[in-house]
Amino acid sequence: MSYGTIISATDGNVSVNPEKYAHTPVECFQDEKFGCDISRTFKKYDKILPVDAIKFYTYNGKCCDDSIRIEDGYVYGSLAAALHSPEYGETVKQYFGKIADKNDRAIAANFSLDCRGVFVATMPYCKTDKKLMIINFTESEQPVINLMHNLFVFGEESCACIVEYCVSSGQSPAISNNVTETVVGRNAKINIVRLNEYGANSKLIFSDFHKQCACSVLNHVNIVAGGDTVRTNTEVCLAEKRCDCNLYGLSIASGKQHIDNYTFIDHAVSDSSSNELYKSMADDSATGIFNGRILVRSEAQKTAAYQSSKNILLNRNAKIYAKPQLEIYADDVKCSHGATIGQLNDDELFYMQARGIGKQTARQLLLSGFANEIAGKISDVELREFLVSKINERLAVNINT
Amino acid sequence: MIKITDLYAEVDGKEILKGVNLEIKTGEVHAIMGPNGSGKSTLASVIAGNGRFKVTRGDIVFDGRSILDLPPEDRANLGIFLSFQYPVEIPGVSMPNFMKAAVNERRKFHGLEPVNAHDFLKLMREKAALVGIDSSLINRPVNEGFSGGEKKRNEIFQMAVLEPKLAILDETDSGLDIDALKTVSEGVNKLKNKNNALMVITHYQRLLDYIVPDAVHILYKGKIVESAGRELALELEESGYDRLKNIEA
Ligand SMILES: Nc1ncnc2c1ncn2[C@@H]1O[C@H](COP(=O)(O)OP(=O)(O)O)[C@@H](O)[C@H]1O
Ligand SMILES: [Mg+2]
Repeated sequence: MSYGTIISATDGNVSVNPEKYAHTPVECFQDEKFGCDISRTFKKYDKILPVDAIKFYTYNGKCCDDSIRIEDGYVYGSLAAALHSPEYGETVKQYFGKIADKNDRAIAANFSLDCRGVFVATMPYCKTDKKLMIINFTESEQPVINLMHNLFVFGEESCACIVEYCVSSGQSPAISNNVTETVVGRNAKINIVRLNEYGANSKLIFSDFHKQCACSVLNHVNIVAGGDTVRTNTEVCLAEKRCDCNLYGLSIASGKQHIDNYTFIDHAVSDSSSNELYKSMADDSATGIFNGRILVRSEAQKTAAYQSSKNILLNRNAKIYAKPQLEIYADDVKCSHGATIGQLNDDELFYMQARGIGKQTARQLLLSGFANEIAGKISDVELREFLVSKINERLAVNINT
Repeated sequence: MIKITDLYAEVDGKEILKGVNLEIKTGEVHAIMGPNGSGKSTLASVIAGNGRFKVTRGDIVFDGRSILDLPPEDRANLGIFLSFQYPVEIPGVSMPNFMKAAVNERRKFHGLEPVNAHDFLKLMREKAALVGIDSSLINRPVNEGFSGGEKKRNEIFQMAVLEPKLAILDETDSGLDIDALKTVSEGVNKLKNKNNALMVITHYQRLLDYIVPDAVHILYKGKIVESAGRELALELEESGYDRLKNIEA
């Protein structure tokens, strides 16, 4: 991609070969300063979001605030600001683009432009109950393309929770191709949650690359409730021993939605465990896809890797494909996988009806129960209740009607 | 209260009920006994409205109207309650959510406003105490991981909350040890009054020591082949079901 040679994301700025571009004003490719009035646009979200959270907004792929802040153990702000800051510039350079798999076309495309994104770091040993909420707001009165590149660096023995909430307004086509790179430091315990509620005009690729250092715990929750065509890539490299990685996913697809979740867990060394539960439901003529690859390398003895994919078809025109893919090259391992695709259980429905609950309500309760197993993985009560209410809101619209 | 006449029902083309006649009046307790596979649970399911079974002949009249064309939820809201022989586990649906939906759907059916949170919690607590169910159970997902006995107790708890006119207890005694049987029966007896009725399906006489029936019926090969007073249960206890061998269905 030739564009990528003129605009390099690695230093966050346009870097040019002066001779080659002598007659072209390359400055025009540079990111214009963005200044939107967040107070007005985002007030309505502030009301519904968990209270006990720091909120950071992005608008059409750009950070609404170009500074770096330090609050409750989090360092957060725009990636560009971090790069140019004396304290975090080195950190950005150390990790940016180093964790992601750039052989993937979509990811290469993300890297090809000057990427805007969010930088978050947690201080070593800092344990906070506070959540950091990144609200990615896309407004598409005009067609828009967002390319965000986020970098999260969690310090040694830190505990933190990042919630990405993706919402949109507007009817014009909106494309997002976002990449997030994460480094989870030694002994850190991290929760990362993404709730995707983008509109039906959205085509989305979200790619997450996580690298876990020794004894770290990562809980990753990936909820796709919106979008038209959605692909998520969640890749985790268990790079050091005694890591614990939990991936939870939920897709709710209706209409003509297409939601494709790909996960890849790389057990690179011994003594780590991974646990994966991905659930989906598809109504109308929607499509749900789960592709879960687990690689246990020959060095990765004493690995425990469990994967489960549970799916519900709500309409005979809907489709669900679930494909586990285990590649095991070590011999002393405990691995299991399973995928189920079914419909709502008649016996459960009848049981509820026999208690006076109408069929429609009974189905709704069962679907909500099915879906909220994923929200149930969150121990933070406020966040869990927020997710449950959002999931139930989604289920009340266009599902099972 | 309920009158079943000449009821035939089948599942997957297989005829299971072959002309059941039974009437239970308000205030009465009737026991239905019979060997395994006689159709006792099928009869209970058909009364509750399980769509898996097809009624091919006969009628069920409850409180003066035929209920055959009603969906299960309407039958429940009219006051029919089935305590399942095998209660299902519903992971992901919590007991409070489940019971709140049940209580509110019933209230809606009768033109009442939803119950408020405070009254609902009070109701749950009171009824839990009445039937002696552990309060941790009624906050878990419906029946998930419950032991056999806990499931049965949960059925009676739900019955206590919903206060049905006609409760059908399908082998509520199986899976209960003698102490649990006693507390569950005491719960049932506390709920029993002159305005409601009970249909107790059981395999053994021992439950009937606690819940004393006005009449005992033997269902065999899809038909009620013998009806008598309480003494029939005791007789069966002695002679067993061998006496039925000569009966042709
Ligand atoms: N869902 C079903 N599909 C097929 N056969 C059934 C079904 N339910 C019950 N039966 C059959 O109907 C007969 C009566 O069963 P059931 O009503 O459970 O008897 P009981 O409760 O008296 O033991 C049995 O032969 C049983 O195998
Ligand atoms: Mg039975």
